[in-house]
Amino acid sequence: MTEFLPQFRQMAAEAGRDPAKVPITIFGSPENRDRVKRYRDQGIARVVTMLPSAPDAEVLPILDRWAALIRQTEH
Amino acid sequence: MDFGAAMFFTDYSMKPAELGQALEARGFESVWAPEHSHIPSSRLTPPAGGGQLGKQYYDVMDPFVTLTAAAMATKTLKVATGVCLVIQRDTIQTAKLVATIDQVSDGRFLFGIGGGWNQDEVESHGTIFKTRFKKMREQIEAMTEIWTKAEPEYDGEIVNVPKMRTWPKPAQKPRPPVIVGAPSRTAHGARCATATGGCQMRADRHIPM
Repeated sequence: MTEFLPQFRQMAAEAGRDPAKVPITIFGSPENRDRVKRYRDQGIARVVTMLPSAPDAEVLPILDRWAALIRQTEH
Repeated sequence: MDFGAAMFFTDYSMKPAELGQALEARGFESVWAPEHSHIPSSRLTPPAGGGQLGKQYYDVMDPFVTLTAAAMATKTLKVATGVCLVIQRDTIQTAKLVATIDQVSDGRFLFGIGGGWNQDEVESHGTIFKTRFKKMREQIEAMTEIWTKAEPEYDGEIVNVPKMRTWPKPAQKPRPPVIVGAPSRTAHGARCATATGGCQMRADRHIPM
């Protein structure tokens, strides 16, 4: 993913767009604090995690871990 | 940086209203719903990561309905298609769906779009696979006319909208954010993204959208 960013931003500029005004969403982000912080530091606007198609007993613990990751990324 | 979560909503998954509330309570910014109208049994296109296509691809519910349920159960959570296969949908009907969900959610809709990867699924809808990205660009241009003008019309090579009137217009002005899906590490996606609003890239190529 990260290796693609310079090329993407160059293409946006060549198309007459300000690359800073083309927000990038990472879809399918791994549940990994270092990776998520690196995305933040690279100017990624949003990360989206893919959840399993499962009932709450399986999904809520995943969300609780992400909630901690969100707090750690903000600070 | 914002955080979102995506789920293929099915009749055996968490319901969208419940998931929406759980996400909002935990500091997430958005919920994302993918779509596949159907999976043809011919299966001409293998999944990007190889192997079998997951059961959820066959079972996934309509994103506009599930996202409406999520929006009605929450106050600030944004609701997003991730992605809407616009090239498999009628342009005028889709423009009205987007404007309507943006109105009923008080401007919380994010329009994630994609050109699809599953060739026989795309072709079931009468769309020519080879020119689907040209069609997608024209559809978004036509929808933007519909969303922003009292008497819009659009004359493209593939998409044509006669001069007409339709409301509602979206709550967000001039339109909800349009976020273009792109496989990572390909220049193709970047070309799409430079034409519209934002870009969505897959971190994991084994999750075909």
